[in-house]
Amino acid sequence: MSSAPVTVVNVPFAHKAITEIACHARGANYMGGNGVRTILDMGGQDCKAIHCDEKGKVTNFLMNDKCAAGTGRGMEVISDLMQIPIAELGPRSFDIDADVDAVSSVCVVFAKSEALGLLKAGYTKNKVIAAYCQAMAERVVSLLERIGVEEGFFITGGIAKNPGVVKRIEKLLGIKAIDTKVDSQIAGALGAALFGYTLMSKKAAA
Amino acid sequence: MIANYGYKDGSGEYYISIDTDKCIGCAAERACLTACPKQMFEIITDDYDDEVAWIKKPNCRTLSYDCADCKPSGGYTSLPCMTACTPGAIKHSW
Ligand code: SF4
Ligand code: SF4
Repeated sequence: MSSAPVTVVNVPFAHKAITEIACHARGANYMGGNGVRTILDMGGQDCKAIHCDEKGKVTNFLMNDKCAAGTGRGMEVISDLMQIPIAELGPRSFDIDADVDAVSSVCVVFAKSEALGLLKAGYTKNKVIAAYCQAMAERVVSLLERIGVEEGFFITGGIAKNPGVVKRIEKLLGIKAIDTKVDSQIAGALGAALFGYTLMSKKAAA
Repeated sequence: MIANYGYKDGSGEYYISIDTDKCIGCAAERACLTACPKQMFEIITDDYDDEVAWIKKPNCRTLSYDCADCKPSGGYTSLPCMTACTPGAIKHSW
């Protein structure tokens, strides 16, 4: 019998390993309140769609870590290609005359060559960024739809800070993400700390 | 909990879903472990301390290839994993 993915090599003093999925759900529940049901984590390397109950316990999840589409890594590729700082991509994606269609490919490698093609065809950088943000939004919405979207929508991870993607996701889903004053990037770490706190409190009480 | 393992790529969506509530006190004596010719299933203790089945990590990125021999094109009329799991915990998206 083995237990959930153990990464104690990096944390030699760890007593227990908890998946990032459970940690994000717990963190989102703490940050967004017990009305949070649908969580989207768009991290640097992977993307997770999570459904949880009022206690932040995972009831359904799906993770995509096979390709960079829908992840911070994918956004970095576009930032490099456009030579525009990553923090400016979101706002610039709205600085266009009219909505643009998503780049057709979900694969970052193909999206990159498609973006170059669009630039050559006369698209402005902002239009290309908008097309990429739209593609990313459509991509993650399809992951969310697989687990079922319910009101109480919360986004964690670095891309939660990119309005170009977040607003497009909200538009596609027809629901607004819950606002938080806490940094969305710490949701997983916060959840892990809460798991640790519960574990140690139980030990102390035993 | 419904745990979805797999991916979506340019060729389609390949997910195996496991209803882990059905794995708790499995009524099929963990038949998934021996039924799968690729030995993709494993029993783990999940985040909530329940002993449930999951798909081994390396297989999660290669499901469409790993399962190809069991699909109708491979001559099967029903999937060995789904047939063996009598509680009905396993579903394939393709
Ligand atoms: S997947 Fe099916 S056979 Fe395997 S442990 Fe779960 S309920 Fe039992
Ligand atoms: S379809 Fe075949 S290879 Fe795929 S999980 Fe089921 S038994 Fe294993």
